[in-house]
Amino acid sequence: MKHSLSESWYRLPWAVRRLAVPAVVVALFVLYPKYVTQLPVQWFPQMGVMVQMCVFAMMALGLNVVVGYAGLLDLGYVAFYAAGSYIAGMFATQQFANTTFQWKFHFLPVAVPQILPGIHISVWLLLALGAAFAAVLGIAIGLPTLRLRGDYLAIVTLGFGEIIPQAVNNGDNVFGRNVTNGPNGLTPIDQLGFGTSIHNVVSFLPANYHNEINYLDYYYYTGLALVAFTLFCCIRLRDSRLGRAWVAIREDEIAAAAMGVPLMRTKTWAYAIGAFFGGMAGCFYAIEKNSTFPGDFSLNISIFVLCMVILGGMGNVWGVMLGAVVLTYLNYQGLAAIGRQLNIDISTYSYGFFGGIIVIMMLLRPEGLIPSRRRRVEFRAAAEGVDVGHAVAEHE
Amino acid sequence: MATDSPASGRPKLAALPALAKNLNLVMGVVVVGMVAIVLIGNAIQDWRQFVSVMLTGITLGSMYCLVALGYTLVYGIIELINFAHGDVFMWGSMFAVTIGVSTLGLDGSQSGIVTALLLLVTMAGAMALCGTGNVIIERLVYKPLRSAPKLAPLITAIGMSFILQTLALKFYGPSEQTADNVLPDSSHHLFTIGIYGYAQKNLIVVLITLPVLAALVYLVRSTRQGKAMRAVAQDTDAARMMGIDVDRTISFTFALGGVLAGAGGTLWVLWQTSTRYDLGFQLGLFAFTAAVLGGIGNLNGAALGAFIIGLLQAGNDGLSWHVPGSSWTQSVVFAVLILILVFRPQGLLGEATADRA
Amino acid sequence: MRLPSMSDNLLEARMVRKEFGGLVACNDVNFTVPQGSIVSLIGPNGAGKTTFFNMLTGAYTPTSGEVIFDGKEVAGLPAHAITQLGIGRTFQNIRLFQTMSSLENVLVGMHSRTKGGIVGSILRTPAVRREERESAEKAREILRYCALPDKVDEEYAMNLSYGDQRRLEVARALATDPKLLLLDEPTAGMNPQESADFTAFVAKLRDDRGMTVLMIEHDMKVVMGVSDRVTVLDRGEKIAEGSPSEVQADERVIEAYLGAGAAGQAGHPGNPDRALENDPQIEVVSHRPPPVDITGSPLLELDDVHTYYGRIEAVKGISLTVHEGEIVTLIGANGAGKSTTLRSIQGITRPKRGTITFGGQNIRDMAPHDIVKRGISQSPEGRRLFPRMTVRENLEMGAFQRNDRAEIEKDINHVYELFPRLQERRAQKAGTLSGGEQQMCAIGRALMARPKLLLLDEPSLGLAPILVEKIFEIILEINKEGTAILLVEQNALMALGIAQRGYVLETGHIALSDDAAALASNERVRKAYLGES
Repeated sequence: MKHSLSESWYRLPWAVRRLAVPAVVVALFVLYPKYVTQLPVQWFPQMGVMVQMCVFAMMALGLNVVVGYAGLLDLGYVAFYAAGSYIAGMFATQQFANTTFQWKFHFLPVAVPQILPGIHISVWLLLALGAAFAAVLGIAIGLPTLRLRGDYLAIVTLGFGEIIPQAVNNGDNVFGRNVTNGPNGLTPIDQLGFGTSIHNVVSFLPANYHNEINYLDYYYYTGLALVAFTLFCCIRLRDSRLGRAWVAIREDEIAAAAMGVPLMRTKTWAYAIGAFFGGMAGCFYAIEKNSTFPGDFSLNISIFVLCMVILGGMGNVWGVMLGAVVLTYLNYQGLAAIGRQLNIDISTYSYGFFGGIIVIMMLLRPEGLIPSRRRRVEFRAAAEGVDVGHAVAEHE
Repeated sequence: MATDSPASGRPKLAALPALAKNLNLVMGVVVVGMVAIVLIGNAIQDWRQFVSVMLTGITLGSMYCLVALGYTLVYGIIELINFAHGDVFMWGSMFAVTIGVSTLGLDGSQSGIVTALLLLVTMAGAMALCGTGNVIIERLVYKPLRSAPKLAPLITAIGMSFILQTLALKFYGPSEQTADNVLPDSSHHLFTIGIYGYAQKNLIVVLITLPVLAALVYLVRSTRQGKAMRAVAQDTDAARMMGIDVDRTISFTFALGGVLAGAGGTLWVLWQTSTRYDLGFQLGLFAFTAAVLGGIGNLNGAALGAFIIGLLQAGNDGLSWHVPGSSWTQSVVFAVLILILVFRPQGLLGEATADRA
Repeated sequence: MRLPSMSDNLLEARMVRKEFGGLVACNDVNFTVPQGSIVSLIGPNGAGKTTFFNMLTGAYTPTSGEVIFDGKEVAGLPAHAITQLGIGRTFQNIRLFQTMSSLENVLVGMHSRTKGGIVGSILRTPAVRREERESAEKAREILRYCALPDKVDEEYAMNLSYGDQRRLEVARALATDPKLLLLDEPTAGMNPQESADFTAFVAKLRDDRGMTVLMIEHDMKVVMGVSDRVTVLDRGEKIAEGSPSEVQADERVIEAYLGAGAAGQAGHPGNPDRALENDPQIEVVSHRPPPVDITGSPLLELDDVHTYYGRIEAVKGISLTVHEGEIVTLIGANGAGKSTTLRSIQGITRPKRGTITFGGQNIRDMAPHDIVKRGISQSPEGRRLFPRMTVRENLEMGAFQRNDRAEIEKDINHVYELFPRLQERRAQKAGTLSGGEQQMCAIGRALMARPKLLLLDEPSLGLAPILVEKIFEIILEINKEGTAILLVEQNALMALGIAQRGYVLETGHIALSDDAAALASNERVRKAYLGES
């Protein structure tokens, strides 16, 4: 039976075989909200977790540009996530209606009453603004620091990852003015939606997500669309002139510079693009959960996303997405579910678990679950004693 | 220079290195100047507070010193930023609580001599355990990665740090572990300056640190293993050619780092009277900053950096005239780290690393 | 600033100087490369060629002087800007992007000649698509031009054969569309046939494409065969310049290459200025220690040793012996595998196959520290002192495996007797010593292990002749005290002058082995070293 099945599989045209698996996977994800209610609640990710998967997939893809493509270790990626979140939080809430500002400004807001004080910019526009602001922040951080050696760069980015949340936390008193509302965070944030005029024409596009019963489904679909956009950009960039320059720099900076690749500029672009998607993810997530707090941005998030990239396979977008899906599931539902089953509370120890994943992967399968072809040969080479990134023939 | 070069568009690049050099100087002067102004301002404003804060800073600095040396020793020999080192330090403090408080029953009720002896046992125990633990970690996870691409061991160290934290969480729980009254508490002043008292334990911590540092200096400068360490750090291949067992020397370095972290952890929990599973990461990063500030790989540098960071932190938290205040401590320390790395990557006492190639 | 065009020189270096600390690596060198010519830069190891090269390519900024390329000052520009101006280069130690395909390697070379930006790449605009297509076509064309077959296009660079890797480096450099091509030891590690092919290829580049080429090269056959002009550097100074035949006849060049005595021996009239220095030199030659009995079992025996760096085989089955009390020399061009052989013996770079027997025991798989303990110590190429330790501490490190304090003290004094200079400098940090003092310290350090066999790697590297003589005298003295010596030397005739036997290495193989005296007069050796025909 099995035999004949596999035979008939191979009789299918090549294009069908190649597209079959991705098509099934995409279909499973797209249709997930339709059948999730039929699945056992304990084991299968609920819609909230699915939205988080989208957020982390975006972040992991963004970090993959920095770490996987360009080989720059960034331990402060959470800074960009924070930047995106706070763009949403400050420009789509009543934050600037506080006693120290009392501003009111509306720009194409979605489903926001005219009389609402504070700044309310279209949340769709904010997704782009949040991403752009993060990218600018990435350039600002990158320019002075990207000439540092790899491990020093890691530490500096880690420093920024710590400074930015602290700055946000203390931002309720910037020379007496309350800019970020400090530890109390920003809430409620305007929700995504298409407004009544579009809704009246295309009825399945809701005017305001939050007024729908199954609003998480709408966020999920929006998240999927953003992931698809991120993925598309990442793949196109990987196969471009810039993508090649990143690999070249990762392997051998000196040779890359000698081939005419401007090191600083090329690295800064990687940083900015990675930051862009981190900012977009942060902005989207803040809107979805309707709030943002300084406490959301710990170093753990940076490490968590890095784990996804490593577990999945640095440099490979599919691996990285798999890493995001698996780890997000484990962190937000899976570990707790397993713990319940075993009657122990594992989720308290989730970060130890992720630490374990990092160490075990580095020791046993440093190239990740689905490595890029490049990484595979690179690690194989390292095992054989070739120092990729340095001269090969160092004899004499 | 070639300002009107027909290659146009980027002729200014030629001027950049020169600018960068001056920028270093300018930035250095500005930063040091600002710090100096704040310090002098505070000293004038309230000299008693200033002196008392600086004295606290010295105690804090000596603590950072013990940890920073562990970073610097390991970095010097295998160029690894051992992220897990702060967590080894945290484990040192945990061991001290387990040995000193839970097992030996130190609670301040014993007489001075007995306390001192038991403290010695506690500290020796914590040092031995941390040293051994650090070597085990090195053998298990870092050694197999010695020829791997450079970022692999660094990432592994981060993973190790999370594991160590979680293990502490598992065994000690999320609450504070305390060692109250082992050292005379903060109300026992050695002397007072105006309204500011100098706690006896501040001096005790410094007095215990000094012989540990002296022993380390002796070990590295004058013993066979210490010299082997320096040789491996300066040129690994040449050290091999001299018949030095490099693997053993690296393990020895980790042992030494662990021992220092054990001593530091013990002193920390005695001084602060409490510790928690997540103590290490933050404190480790501060200590690492100290090591970088002084010039990583350089022992004197680590000590100097540690005292500067200690004073900086104490000043930031304790002074009152135009300082950012304790809600900005992390930012201040990391800002120092970033400025140092960007403008003087070799640190205060470090030599610019010559390209070995 | 636009400088007045002085001539049709594409590259002009004026009074270029580079100092490292107090060390002058490049001493006010004037140098030109005429448009459309092939110029070779030669000189013994440590002559400052690489330093000079690094200043042309942006790795170093000259201490003083200027480098004008195509009418523009390039010294101090970042590397990528120099490439943009039209200087393409290869590396001495192949530096391909290992995990990129050949095609991608060449495409990276085109980086500065293409434009595709971020938005364009994401949207794949028609302009970007056209550029990508044209780049790929051009890249294939370049690969074919460099004689790389179709099948390598999609192959990772690391999987290519050594010769193909070398060719790919040139292809990648050509992709930057250079006006001037810099080749850094392009034939290192190639066999004679490959070198000959490569020489023809460089000539073709000039003739077909009008390419201007500047190369650093050790293989005299290549240099003499293809160069329009040769410039010779020695110890940071330009000592000769001219056509290949002129340079070949220049005594200073012969001296620099073969050792001071060689010019006279080869029938050239000795340089009167140097006559005084030459004298003791010739004396050394005549002081060759008497032959040792080599019928018994050897102290050290290598049998079919193969050593790899990654996939590249640096030592391809070497067999050699050293007997007790003997001085054996190992000579050969750069990249022939000399240092790798020494590293293999000590276990620093572990051989993959073959046996290494020392004192009757197979030591191939022993840890280096055990090998040192058994009596093999090394003074490595480039001295490799511990720079932040004092001279005395360095010497103590040499005795690391010993525990006999009193004897160590005695040996330190013995080293001081051999090198009184070291005693004066004993408290000084080794990193601050002069080159000659460092060499003395390195040899002294190796002696401190009380070795039965001393491995000396290029002890004359970068030293003034007077110092070289001194070092060689001491090598003889050490040997007289009963230590066997395996000497790797670039100063071939000088090494053959004090050794009993010698081996000539070519691309990882032993090409010749004989009595040192016989080798010294062997035509093939002279040819290999001076390209004499």
